[in-house]
Amino acid sequence: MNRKIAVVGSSNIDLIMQVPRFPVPGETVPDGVFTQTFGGKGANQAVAAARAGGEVLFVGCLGVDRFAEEFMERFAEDGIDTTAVFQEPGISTGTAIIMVNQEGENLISVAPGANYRLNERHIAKAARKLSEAGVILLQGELHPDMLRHILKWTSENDKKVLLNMAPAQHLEEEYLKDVNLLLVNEIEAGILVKREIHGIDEIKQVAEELAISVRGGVIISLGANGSYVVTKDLRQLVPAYKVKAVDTTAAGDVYCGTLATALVEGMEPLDAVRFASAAAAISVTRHGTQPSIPFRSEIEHFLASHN
Amino acid sequence: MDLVMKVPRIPQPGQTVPGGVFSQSAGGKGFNQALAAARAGGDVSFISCLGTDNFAEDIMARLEENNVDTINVFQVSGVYTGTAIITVDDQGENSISIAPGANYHLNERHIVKASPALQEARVILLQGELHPDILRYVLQWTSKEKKKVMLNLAPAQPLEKEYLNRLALLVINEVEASELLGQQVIGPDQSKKAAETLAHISRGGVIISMGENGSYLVKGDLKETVPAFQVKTVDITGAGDVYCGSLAAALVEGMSVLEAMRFATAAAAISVTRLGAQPSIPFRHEIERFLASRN
Repeated sequence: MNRKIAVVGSSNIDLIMQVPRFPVPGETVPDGVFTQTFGGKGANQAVAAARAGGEVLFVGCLGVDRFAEEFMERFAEDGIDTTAVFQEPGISTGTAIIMVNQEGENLISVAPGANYRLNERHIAKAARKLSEAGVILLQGELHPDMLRHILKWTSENDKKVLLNMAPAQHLEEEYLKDVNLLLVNEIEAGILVKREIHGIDEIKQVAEELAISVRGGVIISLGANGSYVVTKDLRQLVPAYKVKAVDTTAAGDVYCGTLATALVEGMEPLDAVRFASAAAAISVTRHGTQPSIPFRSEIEHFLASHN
Repeated sequence: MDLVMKVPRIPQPGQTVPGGVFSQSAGGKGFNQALAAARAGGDVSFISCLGTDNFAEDIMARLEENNVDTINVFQVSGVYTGTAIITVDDQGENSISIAPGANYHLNERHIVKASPALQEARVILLQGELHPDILRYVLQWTSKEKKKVMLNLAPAQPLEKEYLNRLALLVINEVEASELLGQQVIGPDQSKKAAETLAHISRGGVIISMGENGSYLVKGDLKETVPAFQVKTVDITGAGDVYCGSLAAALVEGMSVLEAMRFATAAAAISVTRLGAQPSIPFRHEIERFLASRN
């Protein structure tokens, strides 16, 4: 059984500053509390896939700095293959600055940094490893040019592709048609079809529309309302598990990463969706991004106790 | 650690602004002043508190590269090294938030541990960024041990007379003078008056820096302006720290206060002609060459 998953995507160091209030231009606000965490959709999904039991290759680009060292250690701890994690000098590893005030509002600025240095030569270098993968998992955070380049490569090499279009970016049908599974939430689905979506009937309608371009299948995740799955011969709303949510950050990444692992193992689509829903449910009951990502044993335990 | 994000625009609540450019550099008034004093030729021991993270390692490396003694740079676990997040937009507007982190974990035990180095020091240089409690504690200790203290009260924090009157030198700018006196201080005339008022309390001496108008000293009967040097300014960040650090180095060598102010003014002038905080801190030979060229 081929358990190999390749995740091509971003890695960001999240620099989080909790402040009593947001500084206005020209102002210095003291008494903040700082924390630093690992983030980036690509990195989060790679960690989720690995913890769920997948054999994961991460393809991405970091700078030559401390943040990169920290990422390399992180990936190694989760048993992720880092032979296709490239490092480019003269540019910082991707970062996001997240300022959170006492009301829980946040201000975010993102510097893609080295993420946007991932280039065609890197993909060529990673080609042998990529071709071994049973599934290739991509995200909308990739630079638009790179996303197209990779989709062209996967199509030519007849690879199975899961595309989590988060954030949403427009993509021509020639690229979408060979995607095996498109994963989006309601907002992203709305951006792709260029209209707002309200209620389950419209969601079902939009999923059908998207499934015309994406011949493999479409999953629209609906948060606490579950996920709506459309494949060639299946239409199903899979309910979410009821849990006490404390932090929904990265739940979507956990869903995508664990779904890739489940599918590569050969689980039936609906079983894979349940497995991913369970993983996402566990993650929202915990604080933090990567610390909240569950391990296989926890997912199985959760599923056993919820059957 | 200064974490700097250059963005096309500063984000509003709930907004994510993409397209940023990130950079980081070691900073903090204490750190900058220690580096400035060392580069100006001083034999510097830095007393401070860091976390046990990679930021701490970077700061230690920068101090050691500059021959600053780090034996009394303490590290505590479970808290991050102090950080400042500086968001700068295309127009150069910036917004800053500061997490004191490990800086606020510098405690009395650390000062006791550092007391041999403090005892040996000819001058002890402090800043208003210290936690109010530890600032008072250090000032009590230095008073008991009869040590010479230079206090750069930046940012300004209220401090009782009993502490101010034991200082060898109080160094402030217009903004800090305004806060200390509770009234606006603008321009050289008001600055001089403010320094004279403060010199009644801080009897060791007061220096008020007035930017391009130079700096003004009040020490007993001595009242003197040291003019600034005319230079092409590109970045004033850290100029006050360069002034304080190099002033301390000059005083320890036995220069007169006015000579030392001239030396510090030259160092600050060099620093404003260069970009960046630490890269802009000049070395001794640069200060001497600058002074020679301006004589």
